[in-house]
Amino acid sequence: MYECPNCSGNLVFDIVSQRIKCPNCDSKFDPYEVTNQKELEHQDSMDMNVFMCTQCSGVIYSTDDAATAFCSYCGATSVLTSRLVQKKRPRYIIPFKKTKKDCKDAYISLMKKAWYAPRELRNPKYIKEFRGIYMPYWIYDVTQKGYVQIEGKTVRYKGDYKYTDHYQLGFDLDNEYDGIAYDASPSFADSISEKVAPFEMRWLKEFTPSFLSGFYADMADVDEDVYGQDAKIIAAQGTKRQLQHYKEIQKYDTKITIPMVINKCHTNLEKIDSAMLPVWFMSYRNHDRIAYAIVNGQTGKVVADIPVDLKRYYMGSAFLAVPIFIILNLFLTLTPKTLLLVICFISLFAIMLHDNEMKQISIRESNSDDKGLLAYKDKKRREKRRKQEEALRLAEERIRQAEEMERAERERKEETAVTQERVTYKSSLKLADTPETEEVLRFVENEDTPFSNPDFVAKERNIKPDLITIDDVNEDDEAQYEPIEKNVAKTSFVLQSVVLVVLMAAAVAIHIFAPEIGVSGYFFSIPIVTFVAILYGCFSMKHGSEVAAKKGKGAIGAILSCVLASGICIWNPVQDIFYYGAVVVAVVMMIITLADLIASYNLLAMRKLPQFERTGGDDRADI
Amino acid sequence: MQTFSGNKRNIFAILFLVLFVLGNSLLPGWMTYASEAATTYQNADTKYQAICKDDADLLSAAEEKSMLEAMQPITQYGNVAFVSTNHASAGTSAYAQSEYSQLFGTSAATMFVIDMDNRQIYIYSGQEMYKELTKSYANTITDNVYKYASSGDYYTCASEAFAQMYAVIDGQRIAKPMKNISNVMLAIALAILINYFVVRFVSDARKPKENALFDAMKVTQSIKNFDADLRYTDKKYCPQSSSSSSGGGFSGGGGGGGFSGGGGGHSF
Repeated sequence: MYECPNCSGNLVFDIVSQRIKCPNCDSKFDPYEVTNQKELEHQDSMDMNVFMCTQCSGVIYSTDDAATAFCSYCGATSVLTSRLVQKKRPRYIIPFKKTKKDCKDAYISLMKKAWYAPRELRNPKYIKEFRGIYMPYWIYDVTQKGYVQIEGKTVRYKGDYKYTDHYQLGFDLDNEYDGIAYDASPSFADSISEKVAPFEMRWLKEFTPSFLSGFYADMADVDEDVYGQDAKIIAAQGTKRQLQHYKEIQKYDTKITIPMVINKCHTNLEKIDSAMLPVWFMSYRNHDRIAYAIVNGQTGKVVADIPVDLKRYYMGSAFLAVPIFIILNLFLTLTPKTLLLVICFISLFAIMLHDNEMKQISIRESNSDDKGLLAYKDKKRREKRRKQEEALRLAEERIRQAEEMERAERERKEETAVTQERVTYKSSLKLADTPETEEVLRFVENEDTPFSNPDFVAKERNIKPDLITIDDVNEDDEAQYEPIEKNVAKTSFVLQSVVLVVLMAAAVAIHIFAPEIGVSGYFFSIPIVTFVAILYGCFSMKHGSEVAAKKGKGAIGAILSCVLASGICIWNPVQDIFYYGAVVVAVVMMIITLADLIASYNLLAMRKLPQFERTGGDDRADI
Repeated sequence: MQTFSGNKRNIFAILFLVLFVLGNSLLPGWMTYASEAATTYQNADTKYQAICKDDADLLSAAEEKSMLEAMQPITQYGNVAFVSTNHASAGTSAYAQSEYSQLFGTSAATMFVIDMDNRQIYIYSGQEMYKELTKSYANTITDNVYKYASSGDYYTCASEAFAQMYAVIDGQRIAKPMKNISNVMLAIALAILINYFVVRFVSDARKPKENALFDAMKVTQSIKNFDADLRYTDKKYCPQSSSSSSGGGFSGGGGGGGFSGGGGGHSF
């Protein structure tokens, strides 16, 4: 908290003037001039109040010590616990340029286009909850400097011969890409941060904590090397475009690819800095789902998860159906069989959309599209494992020590007993005290030594140290760290597309040529489309089964719609009533799938409540 | 006597001819004459014909006469025919096309066909008539009347079809219950689907384009000292003649207007 030198009021950063302002006496100060004693003592750190949500473990930091009213990440209210921590200072900051009013205006403008969004999302009371947060970012500087050689060729013809000249193209490359930004907070989904980008890096300023006054902040929990390769790829894209547009290179036929550029153009991560970038953040919670609205605090770009109010959606669809009906009636008269074929195609299309949506939901639910969060969880997993291994090592050490102590104690007792027994034995046999006598006695003793008792170790092994039982490995817990590929649909998209195209081509060809042999084209085309629909439906159900909330049954309606159409076509009744009856039933079943498609969209538009699994802050970032 | 009887025959012949001509002129509306193949009527004003060619013998003589009456209004706009057959191995559509060209050549006409071979009713129209009685209307009308054919009432089926055909040509409306039902269902399904795309389009924020990303960061690019070093050359036999063709091509254009016709039908 920064106090006003004039009136001791609480200073806050004023976006309009870009200065620190006292709300009481309107005094304004240069942010770099405002500082407190602790900051002077610790140039690399700053004191922050950390508020941790007891529900999702999401953390948010503030220079102010007033408790926050709600958690921005999971929407929970009054559940934040606070404590003071010392955090490492980031290197740079882009101060807020857009005021809360700008942010609200941008959001309202977006919501005007979102006709089917729930009413609550337009509620001024809800919109008031936009919160200014500085998000941590890693800023990568990538260089490509050095002599580069790539292959190129030219082709010329002479007589009946084609000559291909192969060249080695060489040049000195001197490229710099400064300011490739990736968010460093696991709380901030990559799918949002990459859309709210870009931030204009020319406005980067040296960080000073007073900029945070009046705002919240998150801290970097994702390791800086996580996005290193992504930064290189961005730089390579720029260089690829540069090479493709370079006049001398254009004279040659070259194959310039991203991997080639990365490998041959001396692509290096020159520098990685941390920075705080401004976003306005708002969350909308609906039961166990949450939607975020983010406004870029520098450019005003809005990114929002916009769920659909199903009631409004169906009303809108009913209104839209009227003009569509009029247009259809003006231009289209379908025979019952053609109508069934059309329904089949629409059903197939609905199944394909459903399949695609299921895949996207599956990716979203598993956070496979959030590299930062996965890396953070992976880091936590590794830390957990390391701790568990350490605990096991300590436990083993304790067992070993216990065994040694027990062995020593038994040896001591046994030694006493043997000595006593030996004395008795020798005296009873009247043996002489010679080396031979000692050897015989040792042999007799080893046959039944008290230290060779296997129960001893087993008993010791049964000791379960607290460290192991407290933090045991949980298989279920492991499952959530499975690699991305396991959670993403593996079915080859190319294979699916090829099968689809071939079968559709076959359906069309048969439909056209079947009448030549005296058979109705529908007899073949509709069953073929149905076959494809069933195939796709199976994929869709498989992908849907990976989404816990769906159970993968959404495509069944459209599949049954196609099956019914096929059955009617094969039966081929004369009376239209059967066809139109089938059409009505098929459309109803298809609408069931479409309804599921819309309902599923809300899963995609909203997110699972986050669980960040933090345990008292990030050690790496602490000083 | 022979002369008298010969004259008598001539007189009867002349009398018959006069009566025929008189009859033809005194009955201005219509006149029919029976033949084994077809019963026809010609509109005196428009010269368009109505032909009833019942090869499948589905109609009685009286029904054929009534059928011509039913077709009569259509002759204000073009030729019209009722055709039935027991043999249409090439399919109803091909049969209708063939009959059309036999009966009317390339002039404007419409034809209602009952194909007992394929158990299908079919409306085929050509030229100006096809502009009014489109395939869509042919499907609608046959859809509306096929149930009569299913129950064996071919006369009602055809006469009702001609009544609806006339209504369409005359600019009146005809009932399209099945079309309405199917279009309602289609409209609902399409509306839900289109709305889905609207939602996806409006809600889905786009990632920034590459240009925007590079504009936001500090980028310096420089290529210097470019050189190209020839390493080796491939030589491949590639005869020019096989690789390309040259010379002017021929482009032919169609001359004159073609025949436009088509139709639609329904099984029964």
